[in-house]
Amino acid sequence: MDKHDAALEINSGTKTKKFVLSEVFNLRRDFDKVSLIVELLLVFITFQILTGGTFMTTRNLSNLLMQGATCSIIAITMMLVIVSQNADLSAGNVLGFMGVVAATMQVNLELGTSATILITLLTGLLVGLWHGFWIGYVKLPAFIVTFATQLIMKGLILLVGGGMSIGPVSPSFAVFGYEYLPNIIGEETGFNLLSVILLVLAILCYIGFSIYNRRKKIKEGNPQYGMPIFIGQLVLVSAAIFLVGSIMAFNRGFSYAVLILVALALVFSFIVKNTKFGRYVFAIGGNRDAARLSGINIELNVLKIYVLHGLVTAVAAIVYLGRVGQAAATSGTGFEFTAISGCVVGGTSILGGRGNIIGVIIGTMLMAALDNGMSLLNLDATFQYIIKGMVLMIAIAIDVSSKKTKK
Amino acid sequence: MKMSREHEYILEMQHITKEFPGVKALDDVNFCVKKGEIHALVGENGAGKSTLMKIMSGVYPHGSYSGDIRLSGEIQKYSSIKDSEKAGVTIIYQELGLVHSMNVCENIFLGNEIMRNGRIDWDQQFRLASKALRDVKLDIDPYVEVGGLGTGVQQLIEIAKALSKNVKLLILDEPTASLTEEDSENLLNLMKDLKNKGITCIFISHKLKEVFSICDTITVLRDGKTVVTKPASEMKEEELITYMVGRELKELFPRQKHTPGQTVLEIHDWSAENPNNPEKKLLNNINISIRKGEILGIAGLMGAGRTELALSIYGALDAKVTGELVLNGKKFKPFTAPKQAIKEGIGYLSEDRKRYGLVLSSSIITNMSLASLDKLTKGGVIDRDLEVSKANESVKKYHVKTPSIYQLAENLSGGNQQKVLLAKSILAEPAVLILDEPTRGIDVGAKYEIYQLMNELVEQGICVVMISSELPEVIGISDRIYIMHEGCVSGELEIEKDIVTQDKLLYFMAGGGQYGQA
Repeated sequence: MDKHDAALEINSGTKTKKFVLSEVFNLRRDFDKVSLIVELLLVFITFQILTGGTFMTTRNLSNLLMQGATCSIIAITMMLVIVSQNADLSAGNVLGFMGVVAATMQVNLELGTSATILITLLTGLLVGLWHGFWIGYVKLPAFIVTFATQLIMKGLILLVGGGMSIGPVSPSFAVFGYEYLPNIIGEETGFNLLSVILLVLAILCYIGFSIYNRRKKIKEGNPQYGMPIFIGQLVLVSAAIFLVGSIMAFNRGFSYAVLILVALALVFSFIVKNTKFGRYVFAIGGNRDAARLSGINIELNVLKIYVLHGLVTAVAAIVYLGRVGQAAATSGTGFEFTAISGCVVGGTSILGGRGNIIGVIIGTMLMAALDNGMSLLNLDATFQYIIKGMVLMIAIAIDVSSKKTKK
Repeated sequence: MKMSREHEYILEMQHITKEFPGVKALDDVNFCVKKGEIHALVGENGAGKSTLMKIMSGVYPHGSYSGDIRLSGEIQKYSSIKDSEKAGVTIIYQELGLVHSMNVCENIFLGNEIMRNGRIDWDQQFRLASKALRDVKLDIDPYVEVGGLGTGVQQLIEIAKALSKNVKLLILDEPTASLTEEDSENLLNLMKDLKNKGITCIFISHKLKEVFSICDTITVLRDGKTVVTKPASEMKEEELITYMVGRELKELFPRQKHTPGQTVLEIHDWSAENPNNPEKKLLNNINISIRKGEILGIAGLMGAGRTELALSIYGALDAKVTGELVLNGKKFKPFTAPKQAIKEGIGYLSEDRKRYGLVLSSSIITNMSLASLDKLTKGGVIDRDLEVSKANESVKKYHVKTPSIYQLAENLSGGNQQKVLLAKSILAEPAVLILDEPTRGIDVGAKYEIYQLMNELVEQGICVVMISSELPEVIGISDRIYIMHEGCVSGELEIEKDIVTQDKLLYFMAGGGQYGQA
């Protein structure tokens, strides 16, 4: 029976030390995270040098967060789509279509903001049902279905908007893309107190939550990192949250767009970890056959994924339209590319079954930074396309090869 | 000295150590194989056999482990499988690597095509393929598509493929795990032939009888270390098991006396159409019953419809099923989705755990709770504390060897993966649990634990149905046995009443007469 005793001993927890070294220096396991940080640093430093310092100004970084918010929002549910081994090539044009619909309602029909939002969300729901029906129930390949939708949406955009730019939208609608949290103690302080308070609260929440989780896991008898590493991690992540947050908080404050992104990220992190649906998404992508035999209704859950994705894309459309103020025939073109690249760069496996929200948002912001930096450099569109294509290619290569070596 | 060693040993692996994050898979292993022998490598699941083979064949390249590999005395530094194949080492895995949509000839020369003037020389390939097939005593047309052939035949084609590459050292990983008795016999005879032709074989198997019948030397691995290397003639079966398990195993099958109670599950006039061949039904008018407090064995040859029967009861068969199912007195039409079956208390554990069981990219805990999330969810939110405590409980109870419940399933050994799946099925609290080949590819120690677990389940009032191809296991564990043949139940035997022998089972498996159907 000595074999069993050994197994029990390993499981009895408290053996935190034994796992510390191999865990921390386990580059392969944390490959996704490490490579993401390296890529992030690389891009930021390169642009900082090339732009002669304009890239990393508060103003530009704040802009970058606003611009990146739209695609980052899409990327959240794009991750669920990819994790379940599906695809969505239509997100950009779907967003463009919803933008045209919303703008038409605002400008031509003079509908109120809440009615416009409601109808935009409804459009998202319909697109989700459409995809869910064909992909989930008729079982057509997602790649082809969404490719077809892309074309259909291009047509619908022309049909509704007649190829014209429609705008401007009402100020109350533009809030979601354009406005910042109100500054409660006046301009002269130079920073937005409400935002700073929010930022500090967020960091405190993070620290409290991490400590609580760590205690619980140790109590459960699961090995954790040693104390110094844990504290180091806390400090680093808190500093990162503070740095990113302060770009906005000590400037004009948090924009609603970024707050919406953070809220959605939290909600979906919760869904992924703590609901049946979240688990089923990963199970379907990780092993469809096993998921079916575990009693999971694959058709229904794929439908749910696309419905959520449709709704979240609608939110992204509202944020986007608010920011740019008018809907053009080409609005949203290529957004699906940014979102998909962001997912892959952020550690979502195109082979399905793996992915995480934080990574996806950082990945998409990285892609947005690429866009932003290249625009600052006035780089020709030709090269922008080539570079973005290469980045996606390399990200996928890294993803696939890191998964291969695991076996 | 060096010269003589070169002649004696074809393969020498010395001081091989390989570490994975948190685990030392191999610890200073020495493994030497003499020229022209059949050398068995045995050990429990997780003992390190697969890892050792992967090092030997270059899957884990030089540099990712420490130690030396010598082939015919020369140090080898493989950076990929290609290198080892070039050196004359070929490994045939349990999961066969043939392309189903290609024909036999194409498969044999896949990656090794014979070229003439820049194009494939089909005539030459055909000739050589025919010869290779003759060498493995296979009488089939090289232009037949592989997908339609049985597992036994495919296995032989793999060997033919290896022979066509001038193999010096052939490694067979569990070659008979999914073969019928007859096919296994063929394969073992072929191995003896190859030995006479001077090809050295490494034979990895859990079937100790086979090991003793054909192997010259046996090496036992346990917990990543070499325990012993000895001529087979100097070892007894009990001794070998002791080496493998590290403790004495008194009996192979822990039989317990059960008292069968009332009938829990019955199926009447149960048939399933064959979507590919309407003439021949997958299941034909089956009537069986399962009682509380018994282990019901289902025996039969490959393709007899055992797995189809299980899947049809579980609502997972891709075919039209007709008949009536009575569960605890309630009548049902055949289920159309596993969800319904799980809800009514039927559980099923597939024979192919990687394909139909595990989500390899997920952790132990998420795998374990996957089929029982309904029970763990309150107000739409999973009760994580409850989930964790259930998973920890299961890991302890079923002796899953892992540093943490958050370990990914892909990092576990076969036996431990099987235990995770068993835990998953049991957490769904089934009334009837169907286990399809629950001990396939699992070592003696883990097998014993699974048998004990089955006994425990029966005591808890769960009906256990075991589908198995291993006759000693069927006889050793079941209280009652149904034998299937070509989609029908051809016999029913009760251990207490009938004298159950392997011969009798084989008689029914071959379709010998219609026995009284319950």
